[in-house]
Amino acid sequence: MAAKQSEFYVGYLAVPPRLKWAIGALVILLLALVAFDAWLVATLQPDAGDGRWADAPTEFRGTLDRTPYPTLRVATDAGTRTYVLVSDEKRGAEAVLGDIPAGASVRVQGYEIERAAVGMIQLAATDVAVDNAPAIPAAPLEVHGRATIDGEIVDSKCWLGVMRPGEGHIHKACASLCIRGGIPPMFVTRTSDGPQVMLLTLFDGRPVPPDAILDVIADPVRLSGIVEKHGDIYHFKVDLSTLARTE
Amino acid sequence: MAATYKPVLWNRHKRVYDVVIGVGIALYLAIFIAVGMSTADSANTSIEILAISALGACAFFMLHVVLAIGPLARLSTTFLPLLYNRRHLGVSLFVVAAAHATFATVWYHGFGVLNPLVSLFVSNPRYDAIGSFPFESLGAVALVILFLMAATSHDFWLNNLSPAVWKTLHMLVYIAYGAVVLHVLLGAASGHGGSPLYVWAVVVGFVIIAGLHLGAAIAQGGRDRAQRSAPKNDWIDAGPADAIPQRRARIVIAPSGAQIAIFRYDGRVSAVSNVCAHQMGPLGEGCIVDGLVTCPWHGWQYDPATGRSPPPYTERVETFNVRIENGRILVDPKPNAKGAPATPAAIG
Repeated sequence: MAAKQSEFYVGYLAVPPRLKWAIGALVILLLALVAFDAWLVATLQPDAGDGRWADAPTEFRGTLDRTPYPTLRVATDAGTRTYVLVSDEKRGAEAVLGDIPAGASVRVQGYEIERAAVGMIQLAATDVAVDNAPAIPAAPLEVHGRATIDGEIVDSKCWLGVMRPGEGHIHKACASLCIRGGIPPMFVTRTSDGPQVMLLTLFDGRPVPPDAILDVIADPVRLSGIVEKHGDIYHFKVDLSTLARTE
Repeated sequence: MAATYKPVLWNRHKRVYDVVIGVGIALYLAIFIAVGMSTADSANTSIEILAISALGACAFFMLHVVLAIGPLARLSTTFLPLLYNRRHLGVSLFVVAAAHATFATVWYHGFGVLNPLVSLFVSNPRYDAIGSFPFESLGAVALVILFLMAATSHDFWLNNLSPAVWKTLHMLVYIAYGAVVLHVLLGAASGHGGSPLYVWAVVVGFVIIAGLHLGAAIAQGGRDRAQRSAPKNDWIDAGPADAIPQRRARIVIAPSGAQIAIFRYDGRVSAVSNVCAHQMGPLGEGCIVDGLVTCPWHGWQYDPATGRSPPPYTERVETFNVRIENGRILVDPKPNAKGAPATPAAIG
């Protein structure tokens, strides 16, 4: 019953021998818990997708298009490739492109971004050189018809590879900020073959005003409209009155 | 104890404690990032996002440890060494949480057309929804509380705010915990992209913390009942003097609720308030070291006969008059002024 003073712990005095073992065991147990928790939570991280964002800029030459969003048609060995153009940070390319008209041949330096067979160029500099190269004709338009699709409105830049993952609730505020800044919105839907992504436009083909979709960005939604394929990139021309959350 | 204010009164224990904190944080972040980069689903995760997740998860783990130490120390004195330097763990927790918040704010809310701090609260406007609630705001609430606690962790603030106000301020940690739990449940664990196992991990953490607090409260309640004494001729019968271990104390609770620690030492008994002037620690669970009552929490000391800290220190606690009749200790439940001498009662 009689307690020994030597067992009493005082922080600024020598640790009692009996407590040394207990403290050692506690520290080991605590570090084991640290390792276990770090491992457990790390394994719960969401799917980051397979987006890619180049570390270094490269030069692209092609034909500029300005509607519904800035894109660049580039001739490749496999045919014509359409790149969505964006600026650095969370801004669209409109300000950088200024009054360069659609159909102009241009050279740009940019970082290539790619996911789900959709390409994007983040412009590396503010000067876009106009040259006299012959224009690359637009690919034929394929109309795939009316569709009602469940999916998520994302900002194209993050989803395609700048943020990995660049979708879902955690990314909602960032996606909203990007779309406010002029990054083109895209509609992503999950299929058994993986995610399918389409540029989102109004039913008449004009760009979607950010204010019309800010509330539902990154939420699970259902939208009706017309699916079109412009060369190698899909457009989803939607009737915003059909927009509804599915959760 | 300190006669003057210094940033930290270092000793070997604090150094070892801080090294363990540093190693623990480094280990957590290293394992998290290594596992995240080698797990198939998350292998392509941006390193910035992985670092944000690792810092957030690490801070959440540290908050659980901080909250567990108090009740653990109430349940067993073996855990008192964890309590001694807990404030350094709390400050470290704030630093990790602030790093998480800073990187997340810059990465998700920076580089845009809105001020990042404005974006933090308005980019997701769905304050009316549960599933899509802007969880960032809950994290901001918790961070403000953790900042207040870290900023006032020094004894300078403890003395200037008074122990009662300081203690109340630091009890806000439970509000911070609630905000962080919701921050995680409505953020990382919410919606598509969030794993349901996240929810279970948070629930397990909550059950552990709640269980420890409940267990400590039940144990303390049992002690309080055993220590509550009825007055005898206005004095409290505190039981036989020789039943108190040498250099230890028995705690009795007066009808007024005042807690009295009766120490036995050098053939005498003295009674002082059970509440330490530092952080209101239980002096009666302490020990007489070098002739002085020594608090089990942080080692603050008082002369058992006067309730005064030895010079140059100036802290004081209330004393109580004692006498011994037929080998039993009687205590006057009316406290003397803080630092007022009370004659010790000789045993036998």
